[in-house]
Amino acid sequence: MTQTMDDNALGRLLADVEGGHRLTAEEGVSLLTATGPAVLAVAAAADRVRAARAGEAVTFVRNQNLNVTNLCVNRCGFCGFSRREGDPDAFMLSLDDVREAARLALSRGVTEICTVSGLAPGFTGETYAAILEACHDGAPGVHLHAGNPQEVAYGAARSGWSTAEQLGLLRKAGLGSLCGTAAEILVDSVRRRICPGKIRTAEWARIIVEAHGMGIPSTATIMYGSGESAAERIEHLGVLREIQDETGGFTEFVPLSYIHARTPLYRSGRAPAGATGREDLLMTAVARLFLDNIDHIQASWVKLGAKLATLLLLAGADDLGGTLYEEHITSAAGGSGEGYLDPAEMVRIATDLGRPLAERTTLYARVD
Amino acid sequence: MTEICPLSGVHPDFTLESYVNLLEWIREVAPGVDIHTCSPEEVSYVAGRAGLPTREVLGRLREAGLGTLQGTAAEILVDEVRAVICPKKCDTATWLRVIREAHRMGIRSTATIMYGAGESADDRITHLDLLRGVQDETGGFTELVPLSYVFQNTPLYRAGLALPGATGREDVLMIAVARLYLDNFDHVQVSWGKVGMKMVSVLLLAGGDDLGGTMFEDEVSVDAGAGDASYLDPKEMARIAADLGRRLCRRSTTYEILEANP
Repeated sequence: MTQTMDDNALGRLLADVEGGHRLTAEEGVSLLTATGPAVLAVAAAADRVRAARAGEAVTFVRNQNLNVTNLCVNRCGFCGFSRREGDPDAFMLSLDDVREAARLALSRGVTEICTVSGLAPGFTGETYAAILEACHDGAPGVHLHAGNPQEVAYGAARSGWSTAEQLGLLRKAGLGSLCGTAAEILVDSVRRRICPGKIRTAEWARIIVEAHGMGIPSTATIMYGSGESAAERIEHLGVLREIQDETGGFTEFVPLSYIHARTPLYRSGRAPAGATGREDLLMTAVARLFLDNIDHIQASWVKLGAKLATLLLLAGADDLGGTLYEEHITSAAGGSGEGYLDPAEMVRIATDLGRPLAERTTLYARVD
Repeated sequence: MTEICPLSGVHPDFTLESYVNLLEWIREVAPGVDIHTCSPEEVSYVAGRAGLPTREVLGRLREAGLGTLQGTAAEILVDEVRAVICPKKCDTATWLRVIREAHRMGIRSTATIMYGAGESADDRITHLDLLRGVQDETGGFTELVPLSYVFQNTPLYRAGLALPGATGREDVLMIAVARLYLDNFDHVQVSWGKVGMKMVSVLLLAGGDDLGGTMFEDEVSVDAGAGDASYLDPKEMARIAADLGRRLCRRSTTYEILEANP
């Protein structure tokens, strides 16, 4: 059900937002459900807000992605990555493998190692710390962007201690920042349908706030396009905005478009074939307009490819994410992109847009 | 199915008879279906081989069942660019002449542009300008089909002579500017086989109005490196249209509406 606005009302609302008005949930939904010329009008407004808030540079981080295992006790409906013990393409890296991968990353000049994995049945809270230590051994000085509230909850539960203790352990082991993943859609009725094995919204929020409170920043994400409504997307953004008001701990927002082809939800007819291009454009644009307290919005080239990523950089996004060097999760779900975005291609994209490309660290300091 | 669109390489053994036989055979097997085939390049090629004027070749093809011509092999209608990207193809003047001949004989055609291999914005506009000029004269173009260069498996790219295709910005502007510039064309197609369904959705908001065909097969795009260009299910088309708040309609090759809300 769309809530249409006439052109005048839309123009006034967009002008208000550019002037500092904070969008209500209802207004957010009306923007997300825009069709026709309104879509590009919303994108243009988001682009102007991006320029004011994040400036002209298109940023990226030189990072290495590292998935330690695809063994997972969960089988979330939108995931093509999760495997059981004995599956032919199940894998589990040893700590030596992790150390070696970290060394390789360091030799590539990365400033960040990004590691998340399946919730392996044998893992404890200490396993996650050991993984971080192995990364640190192999790549001292490289920022470790790892885990997420689900992993933290899992490790804590497996070891029988609190999430605060788990976070403390990870920080001692070298954790630089938490991934704001496992957010999916922060609405419990949706989570029950698409990822019933995951922690609930309130628990996700609590752990993120806990981490921020301990001086561990994180990203924020949404995984959209698997059947949730516009209102549910806005509710999710509302949760994030409120956390950011409280803690200021989110470094950026990363919209992740549902990759459907090889996932249980789609194959069983319970999810659409992902978001449409219009929805992708508006998710980024409305995020920029709605999240007035988060400076950076990423365009996920892994999910969407370089062409759409370029358009998203014109619709509110300012960051291209990471070089990655290796990617398993999206390709397992059926994504057809490369596992690596060459900074030379990033330069081309930025130049084509008439903006400078700038390398950043995980925490958005500039790298020269 | 209301259209069959045969397109092949310019086979060294093909003659006019090859094309005539193909058309007659298709017409026998699928009477009443529009046969949308042959580019000005192929017409020029067989005319050269047969020692006949292109006008006569067009006539023979029409007799054999040709319905509409493909406005392909246009690539970029600038000879300096053709010299780099397709040196063996007929030149710009020949392409235009054959198209005009076809239109004057009542054989309508599409118009295309293959952009993103390294030509300039000026080149693209020169190309559009030539098409606009022909359309003013003949009114024979049914639509423009911008074809975004699919680079991955192509010799030009591998030899370092071409860019990795157009950027998303260039794709949007190609559609939008084509719509604004070609004021005598009613239809601008968005080519899902080249740019994927997500881009297509956005391009339909930027001047595009047509989704092309269900295809069932597109080895040209797939071989060049496009991932999944074979078949577009009308159900997916309906989803894209509904999401945009627009109506899906099935059309004939020459844009008669055959079915509203299929």
